[in-house]
Amino acid sequence: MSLAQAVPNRFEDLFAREYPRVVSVAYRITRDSADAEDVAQEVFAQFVRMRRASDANAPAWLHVAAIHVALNGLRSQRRRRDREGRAAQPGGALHSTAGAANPEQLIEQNFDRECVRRALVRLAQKDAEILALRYGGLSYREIADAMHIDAAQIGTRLARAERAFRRELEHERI
Amino acid sequence: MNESDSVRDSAIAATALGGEVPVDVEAAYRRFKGGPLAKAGTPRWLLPVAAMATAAAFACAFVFTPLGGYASAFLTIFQPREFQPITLSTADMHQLRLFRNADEIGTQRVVMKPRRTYFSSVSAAQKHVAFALREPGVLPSGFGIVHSYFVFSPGALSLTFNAARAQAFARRSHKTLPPMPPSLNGTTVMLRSGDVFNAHYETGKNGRFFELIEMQAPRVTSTGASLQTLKRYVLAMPKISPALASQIQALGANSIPVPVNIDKQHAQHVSVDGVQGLAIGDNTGLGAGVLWQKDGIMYVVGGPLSMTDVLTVANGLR
Repeated sequence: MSLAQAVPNRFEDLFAREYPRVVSVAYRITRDSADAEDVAQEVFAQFVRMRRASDANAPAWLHVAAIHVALNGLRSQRRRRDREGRAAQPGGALHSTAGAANPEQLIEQNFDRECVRRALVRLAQKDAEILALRYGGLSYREIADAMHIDAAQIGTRLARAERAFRRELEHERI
Repeated sequence: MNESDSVRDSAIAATALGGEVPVDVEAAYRRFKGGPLAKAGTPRWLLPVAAMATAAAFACAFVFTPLGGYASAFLTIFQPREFQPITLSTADMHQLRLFRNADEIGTQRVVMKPRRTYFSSVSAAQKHVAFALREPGVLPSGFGIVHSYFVFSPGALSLTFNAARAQAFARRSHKTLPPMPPSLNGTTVMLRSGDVFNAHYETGKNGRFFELIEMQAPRVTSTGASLQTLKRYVLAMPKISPALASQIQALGANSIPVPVNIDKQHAQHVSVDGVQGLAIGDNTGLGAGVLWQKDGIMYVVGGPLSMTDVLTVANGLR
Protein backbone atom coordinates (compact mmCIF):
# COMPACT_ATOMS: atom_id res chain seq x y z
CA MET A 1 0.00 0.00 0.00
CA SER A 2 1.34 3.39 -0.96
CA LEU A 3 2.15 5.96 1.64
CA ALA A 4 -0.13 8.27 -0.20
CA GLN A 5 -3.78 7.68 0.45
CA ALA A 6 -6.34 9.54 -1.57
CA VAL A 7 -8.83 11.18 0.73
CA PRO A 8 -12.37 11.89 -0.41
CA ASN A 9 -12.64 15.64 -0.34
CA ARG A 10 -16.24 16.17 -1.26
CA PHE A 11 -18.70 16.89 1.46
CA GLU A 12 -21.46 15.27 -0.56
CA ASP A 13 -19.63 11.95 -0.47
CA LEU A 14 -19.27 12.15 3.29
CA PHE A 15 -22.91 13.10 3.67
CA ALA A 16 -24.12 10.23 1.51
CA ARG A 17 -21.97 7.73 3.37
CA GLU A 18 -22.46 8.89 6.93
CA TYR A 19 -25.88 10.51 7.13
CA PRO A 20 -27.78 7.23 7.54
CA ARG A 21 -25.36 6.12 10.24
CA VAL A 22 -25.62 9.44 12.06
CA VAL A 23 -29.41 9.16 11.96
CA SER A 24 -29.18 5.59 13.19
CA VAL A 25 -26.95 6.53 16.11
CA ALA A 26 -29.17 9.47 17.05
CA TYR A 27 -32.27 7.29 16.84
CA ARG A 28 -30.97 5.07 19.65
CA ILE A 29 -31.41 8.08 21.91
CA THR A 30 -34.34 10.00 20.45
CA ARG A 31 -36.41 6.87 19.67
CA ASP A 32 -38.13 9.01 17.08
CA SER A 33 -37.03 8.97 13.43
CA ALA A 34 -37.99 12.60 12.74
CA ASP A 35 -36.12 13.78 15.83
CA ALA A 36 -33.14 11.66 14.78
CA GLU A 37 -33.11 13.32 11.36
CA ASP A 38 -33.26 16.74 13.01
CA VAL A 39 -30.25 15.75 15.09
CA ALA A 40 -28.37 14.59 12.00
CA GLN A 41 -29.09 17.85 10.18
CA GLU A 42 -27.79 19.81 13.15
CA VAL A 43 -24.69 17.64 13.39
CA PHE A 44 -23.78 18.13 9.74
CA ALA A 45 -24.39 21.86 10.07
CA GLN A 46 -21.95 21.93 12.98
CA PHE A 47 -19.55 19.84 10.95
CA VAL A 48 -19.34 22.25 8.01
CA ARG A 49 -18.68 25.09 10.41
CA MET A 50 -15.92 23.30 12.29
CA ARG A 51 -14.38 20.55 10.24
CA ARG A 52 -13.42 19.44 6.78
CA ALA A 53 -14.82 16.48 4.91
CA SER A 54 -11.29 15.27 4.26
CA ASP A 55 -10.50 14.88 7.95
CA ALA A 56 -9.56 11.27 8.57
CA ASN A 57 -11.60 11.18 11.75
CA ALA A 58 -14.66 12.93 10.29
CA PRO A 59 -16.97 9.89 10.66
CA ALA A 60 -15.95 9.39 14.28
CA TRP A 61 -16.57 13.06 14.98
CA LEU A 62 -20.03 12.89 13.40
CA HIS A 63 -21.04 9.80 15.36
CA VAL A 64 -20.05 11.23 18.72
CA ALA A 65 -21.54 14.62 17.89
CA ALA A 66 -24.85 12.91 17.09
CA ILE A 67 -24.95 11.45 20.58
CA HIS A 68 -24.10 14.73 22.25
CA VAL A 69 -26.69 16.68 20.26
CA ALA A 70 -29.35 14.04 20.88
CA LEU A 71 -28.67 13.83 24.61
CA ASN A 72 -28.54 17.61 24.92
CA GLY A 73 -31.89 17.74 23.17
CA LEU A 74 -33.40 15.30 25.64
CA ARG A 75 -31.95 17.19 28.59
CA SER A 76 -33.28 20.52 27.35
CA GLN A 77 -36.71 18.93 26.79
CA ARG A 78 -36.60 17.63 30.32
CA ARG A 79 -35.64 21.01 31.74
CA ARG A 80 -38.43 22.65 29.76
CA ARG A 81 -40.93 20.15 31.10
CA ASP A 82 -39.63 20.71 34.60
CA ARG A 83 -40.21 24.40 34.19
CA GLU A 84 -43.68 23.74 32.89
CA GLY A 85 -44.47 21.38 35.75
CA ARG A 86 -44.96 18.33 33.57
CA ALA A 87 -41.76 16.51 34.33
CA ALA A 88 -42.87 13.57 36.35
CA GLN A 89 -45.13 11.84 33.88
CA PRO A 90 -43.43 9.86 31.17
CA GLY A 91 -44.90 10.18 27.72
CA GLY A 92 -46.42 13.62 28.13
CA ALA A 93 -47.21 13.97 24.44
CA LEU A 94 -48.22 11.01 22.34
CA HIS A 95 -46.26 10.28 19.21
CA SER A 96 -47.80 8.24 16.50
CA THR A 97 -45.78 5.08 16.31
CA ALA A 98 -45.63 2.63 13.47
CA GLY A 99 -47.10 -0.68 14.54
CA ALA A 100 -49.37 0.71 17.24
CA ALA A 101 -52.66 -1.06 16.69
CA ASN A 102 -54.81 0.87 19.18
CA PRO A 103 -54.66 3.81 21.59
CA GLU A 104 -53.64 1.61 24.50
CA GLN A 105 -50.76 0.22 22.50
CA LEU A 106 -49.78 3.72 21.43
CA ILE A 107 -49.72 4.89 25.02
CA GLU A 108 -47.63 1.91 26.01
CA GLN A 109 -45.14 2.47 23.22
CA ASN A 110 -44.79 6.14 24.10
CA PHE A 111 -44.32 5.21 27.73
CA ASP A 112 -41.58 2.75 26.76
CA ARG A 113 -39.86 5.31 24.58
CA GLU A 114 -39.90 7.90 27.29
CA CYS A 115 -38.52 5.40 29.78
CA VAL A 116 -35.67 4.57 27.41
CA ARG A 117 -34.90 8.23 26.89
CA ARG A 118 -34.89 8.96 30.59
CA ALA A 119 -32.74 5.94 31.31
CA LEU A 120 -30.18 7.06 28.72
CA VAL A 121 -30.09 10.57 30.14
CA ARG A 122 -29.44 9.18 33.61
CA LEU A 123 -26.59 6.98 32.42
CA ALA A 124 -22.97 8.04 32.56
CA GLN A 125 -22.11 9.79 29.29
CA LYS A 126 -19.65 7.12 28.18
CA ASP A 127 -22.19 4.36 28.79
CA ALA A 128 -24.81 6.16 26.72
CA GLU A 129 -22.23 6.72 23.98
CA ILE A 130 -21.17 3.13 23.66
CA LEU A 131 -24.77 1.89 23.65
CA ALA A 132 -25.85 4.36 20.98
CA LEU A 133 -22.83 3.60 18.83
CA ARG A 134 -23.17 -0.17 19.11
CA TYR A 135 -26.91 -0.38 18.61
CA GLY A 136 -26.62 2.30 15.94
CA GLY A 137 -24.75 -0.26 13.89
CA LEU A 138 -21.10 0.63 14.34
CA SER A 139 -18.39 -1.99 14.54
CA TYR A 140 -16.12 -2.39 17.55
CA ARG A 141 -13.33 -0.76 15.53
CA GLU A 142 -15.49 2.24 14.69
CA ILE A 143 -16.63 2.56 18.29
CA ALA A 144 -13.02 2.47 19.43
CA ASP A 145 -12.15 5.26 16.98
CA ALA A 146 -15.09 7.38 18.05
CA MET A 147 -14.48 6.95 21.78
CA HIS A 148 -10.67 6.99 21.61
CA ILE A 149 -10.36 3.71 23.46
CA ASP A 150 -8.75 0.37 22.70
CA ALA A 151 -10.97 -1.92 20.64
CA ALA A 152 -10.13 -4.76 23.03
CA GLN A 153 -11.97 -2.89 25.80
CA ILE A 154 -15.20 -2.49 23.89
CA GLY A 155 -16.75 -5.81 24.93
CA THR A 156 -16.21 -5.21 28.63
CA ARG A 157 -17.38 -1.62 28.48
CA LEU A 158 -20.42 -2.53 26.45
CA ALA A 159 -21.45 -5.21 28.94
CA ARG A 160 -21.05 -2.73 31.78
CA ALA A 161 -23.11 -0.15 29.94
CA GLU A 162 -25.86 -2.68 29.16
CA ARG A 163 -26.05 -3.63 32.82
CA ALA A 164 -26.27 0.00 33.92
CA PHE A 165 -28.89 0.66 31.27
CA ARG A 166 -31.00 -2.29 32.36
CA ARG A 167 -30.95 -1.02 35.96
CA GLU A 168 -31.92 2.49 34.94
CA LEU A 169 -34.68 1.15 32.74
CA GLU A 170 -36.05 -0.95 35.56
CA HIS A 171 -35.94 2.10 37.80
CA GLU A 172 -37.87 4.15 35.24
CA ARG A 173 -40.54 1.50 34.83
CA ILE A 174 -41.26 1.09 38.53
CA MET B 1 -22.32 -11.12 37.35
CA ASN B 2 -22.87 -14.41 35.59
CA GLU B 3 -23.21 -15.07 31.89
CA SER B 4 -27.00 -15.32 31.94
CA ASP B 5 -27.21 -11.85 33.51
CA SER B 6 -25.03 -10.51 30.72
CA VAL B 7 -27.17 -12.18 28.07
CA ARG B 8 -30.30 -10.78 29.68
CA ASP B 9 -28.80 -7.27 29.81
CA SER B 10 -27.89 -7.48 26.12
CA ALA B 11 -31.34 -8.70 25.19
CA ILE B 12 -33.02 -5.87 27.08
CA ALA B 13 -30.73 -3.32 25.50
CA ALA B 14 -31.32 -4.77 22.05
CA THR B 15 -35.08 -4.62 22.52
CA ALA B 16 -35.06 -1.09 23.88
CA LEU B 17 -32.42 0.37 21.58
CA GLY B 18 -32.75 -1.65 18.39
CA GLY B 19 -34.78 -0.97 15.29
CA GLU B 20 -34.20 0.19 11.75
CA VAL B 21 -34.55 3.79 10.61
CA PRO B 22 -35.30 4.25 6.92
CA VAL B 23 -33.49 7.29 5.52
CA ASP B 24 -33.87 9.09 2.19
CA VAL B 25 -30.39 10.49 1.83
CA GLU B 26 -31.12 12.53 -1.28
CA ALA B 27 -34.09 14.22 0.36
CA ALA B 28 -31.99 14.79 3.48
CA TYR B 29 -29.24 16.39 1.43
CA ARG B 30 -31.72 18.68 -0.34
CA ARG B 31 -33.09 19.68 3.04
CA PHE B 32 -29.59 20.31 4.33
CA LYS B 33 -28.49 22.45 1.40
CA GLY B 34 -31.74 24.36 1.30
CA GLY B 35 -32.27 24.81 4.99
CA PRO B 36 -31.09 27.47 7.35
CA LEU B 37 -28.75 25.19 9.27
CA ALA B 38 -26.25 24.93 6.44
CA LYS B 39 -26.34 28.65 5.77
CA ALA B 40 -26.52 30.19 9.20
CA GLY B 41 -23.77 30.68 11.65
CA THR B 42 -20.71 30.92 9.47
CA PRO B 43 -18.21 31.80 12.14
CA ARG B 44 -16.52 35.11 11.79
CA TRP B 45 -13.11 33.53 12.04
CA LEU B 46 -13.75 31.91 8.69
CA LEU B 47 -13.50 35.30 7.05
CA PRO B 48 -9.77 35.76 7.43
CA VAL B 49 -9.28 32.09 6.73
CA ALA B 50 -11.19 32.60 3.53
CA ALA B 51 -9.02 35.57 2.79
CA MET B 52 -5.97 33.40 3.34
CA ALA B 53 -7.29 30.78 1.01
CA THR B 54 -8.05 33.42 -1.55
CA ALA B 55 -4.55 34.71 -1.29
CA ALA B 56 -2.95 31.32 -1.39
CA ALA B 57 -4.88 30.47 -4.52
CA PHE B 58 -5.21 34.06 -5.57
CA ALA B 59 -4.80 33.30 -9.20
CA CYS B 60 -7.77 30.95 -9.15
CA ALA B 61 -9.93 33.57 -7.51
CA PHE B 62 -8.63 36.49 -9.49
CA VAL B 63 -7.01 35.53 -12.73
CA PHE B 64 -10.02 34.21 -14.56
CA THR B 65 -12.06 37.35 -14.42
CA PRO B 66 -11.64 40.55 -16.38
CA LEU B 67 -10.01 41.91 -13.27
CA GLY B 68 -7.94 38.80 -13.11
CA GLY B 69 -7.01 39.19 -16.71
CA TYR B 70 -5.17 42.20 -15.57
CA ALA B 71 -3.57 40.26 -12.76
CA SER B 72 -2.57 37.51 -15.15
CA ALA B 73 -0.67 39.75 -17.46
CA PHE B 74 0.67 41.53 -14.45
CA LEU B 75 2.25 38.31 -13.33
CA THR B 76 3.78 37.47 -16.67
CA ILE B 77 6.25 40.27 -16.47
CA PHE B 78 7.57 39.97 -12.94
CA GLN B 79 8.24 37.58 -10.11
CA PRO B 80 5.87 38.40 -7.22
CA ARG B 81 7.68 39.08 -3.98
CA GLU B 82 5.13 40.64 -1.68
CA PHE B 83 1.43 40.75 -0.94
CA GLN B 84 -0.47 43.99 -1.35
CA PRO B 85 -4.00 44.37 0.02
CA ILE B 86 -6.73 45.73 -2.22
CA THR B 87 -9.39 46.99 0.13
CA LEU B 88 -12.92 46.44 -1.05
CA SER B 89 -16.24 47.26 0.54
CA THR B 90 -18.97 44.65 0.74
CA ALA B 91 -20.66 46.53 -2.11
CA ASP B 92 -17.47 46.26 -4.19
CA MET B 93 -17.37 42.54 -3.50
CA HIS B 94 -20.92 42.18 -4.75
CA GLN B 95 -20.14 44.11 -7.90
CA LEU B 96 -17.09 41.99 -8.65
CA ARG B 97 -19.20 38.86 -8.42
CA LEU B 98 -20.92 40.08 -11.57
CA PHE B 99 -17.78 39.12 -13.44
CA ARG B 100 -16.90 35.95 -11.62
CA ASN B 101 -17.89 33.60 -14.39
CA ALA B 102 -15.01 33.62 -16.83
CA ASP B 103 -17.10 31.80 -19.42
CA GLU B 104 -18.93 35.07 -19.95
CA ILE B 105 -15.93 36.64 -21.64
CA GLY B 106 -14.05 33.66 -22.96
CA THR B 107 -13.43 29.97 -22.68
CA GLN B 108 -11.82 28.50 -19.63
CA ARG B 109 -10.36 25.04 -19.38
CA VAL B 110 -8.89 22.96 -16.62
CA VAL B 111 -5.70 21.92 -18.36
CA MET B 112 -4.37 19.94 -15.43
CA LYS B 113 -6.44 19.28 -12.32
CA PRO B 114 -4.51 19.33 -9.05
CA ARG B 115 -4.85 16.13 -7.04
CA ARG B 116 -5.01 16.22 -3.27
CA THR B 117 -3.25 13.48 -1.34
CA TYR B 118 -3.20 12.86 2.37
CA PHE B 119 -0.02 12.03 4.27
CA SER B 120 0.41 11.03 7.85
CA SER B 121 3.66 12.92 8.37
CA VAL B 122 5.67 15.81 6.98
CA SER B 123 8.52 13.46 6.08
CA ALA B 124 6.14 11.37 3.97
CA ALA B 125 4.75 14.50 2.29
CA GLN B 126 8.25 15.82 1.64
CA LYS B 127 8.93 13.00 -0.83
CA HIS B 128 6.18 14.39 -3.05
CA VAL B 129 7.05 18.09 -2.89
CA ALA B 130 9.77 19.78 -4.93
CA PHE B 131 10.82 22.24 -2.24
CA ALA B 132 11.96 21.94 1.36
CA LEU B 133 8.98 21.85 3.72
CA ARG B 134 9.05 23.76 6.97
CA GLU B 135 7.17 23.01 10.18
CA PRO B 136 6.17 25.17 13.13
CA GLY B 137 8.81 25.14 15.84
CA VAL B 138 6.24 26.44 18.31
CA LEU B 139 2.56 25.56 18.51
CA PRO B 140 -0.06 27.59 20.39
CA SER B 141 -1.25 26.19 23.69
CA GLY B 142 -3.45 23.13 23.31
CA PHE B 143 -2.24 22.21 19.84
CA GLY B 144 -0.01 19.30 19.01
CA ILE B 145 -2.32 16.31 19.13
CA VAL B 146 -3.98 16.13 15.74
CA HIS B 147 -2.12 16.95 12.53
CA SER B 148 -3.15 16.29 8.94
CA TYR B 149 -0.94 16.86 5.93
CA PHE B 150 -2.00 17.26 2.32
CA VAL B 151 -0.10 17.79 -0.90
CA PHE B 152 -1.74 19.24 -4.00
CA SER B 153 -0.06 18.25 -7.23
CA PRO B 154 0.65 20.92 -9.87
CA GLY B 155 -2.31 22.21 -11.86
CA ALA B 156 -3.05 24.46 -14.81
CA LEU B 157 -6.03 26.53 -15.88
CA SER B 158 -6.43 28.57 -19.02
CA LEU B 159 -8.73 31.32 -20.23
CA THR B 160 -8.99 32.36 -23.86
CA PHE B 161 -10.64 35.75 -24.27
CA ASN B 162 -13.47 35.87 -26.77
CA ALA B 163 -14.96 39.18 -27.88
CA ALA B 164 -18.08 37.61 -29.40
CA ARG B 165 -18.84 35.75 -26.21
CA ALA B 166 -18.40 38.93 -24.16
CA GLN B 167 -20.77 40.80 -26.46
CA ALA B 168 -23.35 38.04 -26.23
CA PHE B 169 -23.14 38.13 -22.45
CA ALA B 170 -23.58 41.91 -22.49
CA ARG B 171 -26.72 41.62 -24.65
CA ARG B 172 -28.12 38.76 -22.58
CA SER B 173 -27.57 40.46 -19.24
CA HIS B 174 -28.34 44.00 -20.40
CA LYS B 175 -24.90 45.17 -19.26
CA THR B 176 -22.61 47.60 -20.97
CA LEU B 177 -19.16 46.15 -21.34
CA PRO B 178 -16.22 47.93 -22.91
CA PRO B 179 -15.23 46.68 -26.36
CA MET B 180 -12.59 43.99 -26.11
CA PRO B 181 -9.33 45.24 -27.68
CA PRO B 182 -8.45 43.29 -30.84
CA SER B 183 -5.12 42.19 -29.38
CA LEU B 184 -6.91 40.72 -26.36
CA ASN B 185 -9.46 38.81 -28.40
CA GLY B 186 -8.06 35.30 -28.76
CA THR B 187 -5.35 35.76 -26.17
CA THR B 188 -4.92 32.79 -23.84
CA VAL B 189 -3.69 33.30 -20.32
CA MET B 190 -2.62 30.25 -18.41
CA LEU B 191 -2.08 29.80 -14.70
CA ARG B 192 0.27 27.04 -13.66
CA SER B 193 0.42 26.22 -9.98
CA GLY B 194 3.26 24.18 -8.51
CA ASP B 195 3.28 21.86 -5.53
CA VAL B 196 1.16 23.03 -2.61
CA PHE B 197 1.61 21.70 0.92
CA ASN B 198 -1.16 22.15 3.50
CA ALA B 199 -0.71 21.23 7.15
CA HIS B 200 -3.82 21.23 9.34
CA TYR B 201 -3.36 21.46 13.11
CA GLU B 202 -6.10 21.11 15.66
CA THR B 203 -6.53 20.67 19.36
CA GLY B 204 -8.85 17.70 19.03
CA LYS B 205 -11.49 19.56 21.01
CA ASN B 206 -13.33 22.88 20.90
CA GLY B 207 -13.01 22.96 17.12
CA ARG B 208 -9.81 25.03 17.32
CA PHE B 209 -7.47 24.66 14.39
CA PHE B 210 -5.13 26.52 12.12
CA GLU B 211 -3.72 25.99 8.65
CA LEU B 212 -0.21 26.26 7.29
CA ILE B 213 0.12 26.50 3.51
CA GLU B 214 3.42 26.40 1.65
CA MET B 215 3.43 26.67 -2.12
CA GLN B 216 5.59 27.43 -5.07
CA ALA B 217 4.68 30.80 -6.53
CA PRO B 218 2.30 30.25 -9.45
CA ARG B 219 3.28 31.30 -12.94
CA VAL B 220 0.98 32.99 -15.40
CA THR B 221 1.68 33.27 -19.10
CA SER B 222 -0.07 35.21 -21.82
CA THR B 223 -0.05 34.42 -25.52
CA GLY B 224 -0.74 37.91 -26.71
CA ALA B 225 -2.15 40.92 -24.97
CA SER B 226 0.16 43.23 -23.10
CA LEU B 227 -0.22 44.30 -19.54
CA GLN B 228 -1.33 47.75 -20.57
CA THR B 229 -4.02 46.36 -22.85
CA LEU B 230 -5.42 44.16 -20.11
CA LYS B 231 -5.21 46.99 -17.64
CA ARG B 232 -7.21 49.34 -19.81
CA TYR B 233 -9.84 46.69 -20.45
CA VAL B 234 -10.27 45.89 -16.77
CA LEU B 235 -10.43 49.49 -15.65
CA ALA B 236 -13.05 50.24 -18.30
CA MET B 237 -15.39 47.65 -16.82
CA PRO B 238 -18.59 49.03 -15.30
CA LYS B 239 -19.01 48.90 -11.55
CA ILE B 240 -15.27 49.24 -10.92
CA SER B 241 -15.30 51.93 -8.27
CA PRO B 242 -12.81 54.81 -8.54
CA ALA B 243 -11.27 53.72 -5.25
CA LEU B 244 -10.69 50.20 -6.55
CA ALA B 245 -9.36 51.50 -9.84
CA SER B 246 -6.85 53.71 -8.11
CA GLN B 247 -5.65 50.81 -5.98
CA ILE B 248 -5.13 48.67 -9.07
CA GLN B 249 -3.26 51.51 -10.71
CA ALA B 250 -1.02 51.86 -7.67
CA LEU B 251 -0.07 48.21 -7.32
CA GLY B 252 3.65 47.72 -7.18
CA ALA B 253 5.43 45.77 -9.88
CA ASN B 254 6.31 42.98 -7.44
CA SER B 255 3.03 42.83 -5.57
CA ILE B 256 0.40 40.14 -5.45
CA PRO B 257 -3.03 41.70 -4.99
CA VAL B 258 -4.99 40.31 -2.04
CA PRO B 259 -8.65 41.36 -1.80
CA VAL B 260 -9.63 42.45 1.72
CA ASN B 261 -13.21 43.29 2.69
CA ILE B 262 -12.81 46.43 4.76
CA ASP B 263 -16.25 45.95 6.31
CA LYS B 264 -15.15 42.72 7.95
CA GLN B 265 -11.37 42.59 7.95
CA HIS B 266 -8.31 44.71 8.38
CA ALA B 267 -4.88 44.28 6.87
CA GLN B 268 -1.44 45.60 7.64
CA HIS B 269 2.12 44.90 6.62
CA VAL B 270 4.17 43.12 9.25
CA SER B 271 7.67 41.76 9.60
CA VAL B 272 7.51 37.97 9.56
CA ASP B 273 10.10 35.26 9.02
CA GLY B 274 12.67 37.95 8.22
CA VAL B 275 10.69 39.49 5.38
CA GLN B 276 7.68 41.74 4.93
CA GLY B 277 4.33 39.96 5.05
CA LEU B 278 0.68 40.88 5.10
CA ALA B 279 -1.38 40.25 8.23
CA ILE B 280 -5.17 40.07 7.91
CA GLY B 281 -7.47 40.02 10.92
CA ASP B 282 -11.16 39.56 11.40
CA ASN B 283 -12.66 42.71 12.89
CA THR B 284 -14.12 40.66 15.75
CA GLY B 285 -10.65 39.48 16.73
CA LEU B 286 -11.68 35.83 16.44
CA GLY B 287 -9.43 34.93 13.55
CA ALA B 288 -6.22 36.03 11.90
CA GLY B 289 -3.77 35.09 9.21
CA VAL B 290 -0.47 36.15 7.73
CA LEU B 291 0.95 35.73 4.23
CA TRP B 292 4.49 36.14 3.07
CA GLN B 293 6.94 34.98 0.46
CA LYS B 294 10.49 33.89 1.05
CA ASP B 295 13.01 32.28 -1.27
CA GLY B 296 10.39 31.71 -3.95
CA ILE B 297 7.94 29.96 -1.63
CA MET B 298 4.66 31.51 -0.54
CA TYR B 299 3.52 30.86 3.02
CA VAL B 300 0.16 31.29 4.72
CA VAL B 301 -0.65 30.72 8.40
CA GLY B 302 -4.23 31.34 9.49
CA GLY B 303 -7.16 30.19 11.54
CA PRO B 304 -9.34 31.04 14.53
CA LEU B 305 -6.35 32.25 16.52
CA SER B 306 -5.14 35.56 17.85
CA MET B 307 -2.77 37.54 15.66
CA THR B 308 -0.10 36.99 18.29
CA ASP B 309 -0.42 33.22 18.02
CA VAL B 310 -0.43 33.35 14.22
CA LEU B 311 2.75 35.43 14.13
CA THR B 312 4.40 33.19 16.71
CA VAL B 313 3.75 30.16 14.51
CA ALA B 314 4.85 32.01 11.37
CA ASN B 315 8.08 33.28 12.91
CA GLY B 316 8.85 29.85 14.35
CA LEU B 317 8.85 27.90 11.09
CA ARG B 318 11.97 25.79 10.71
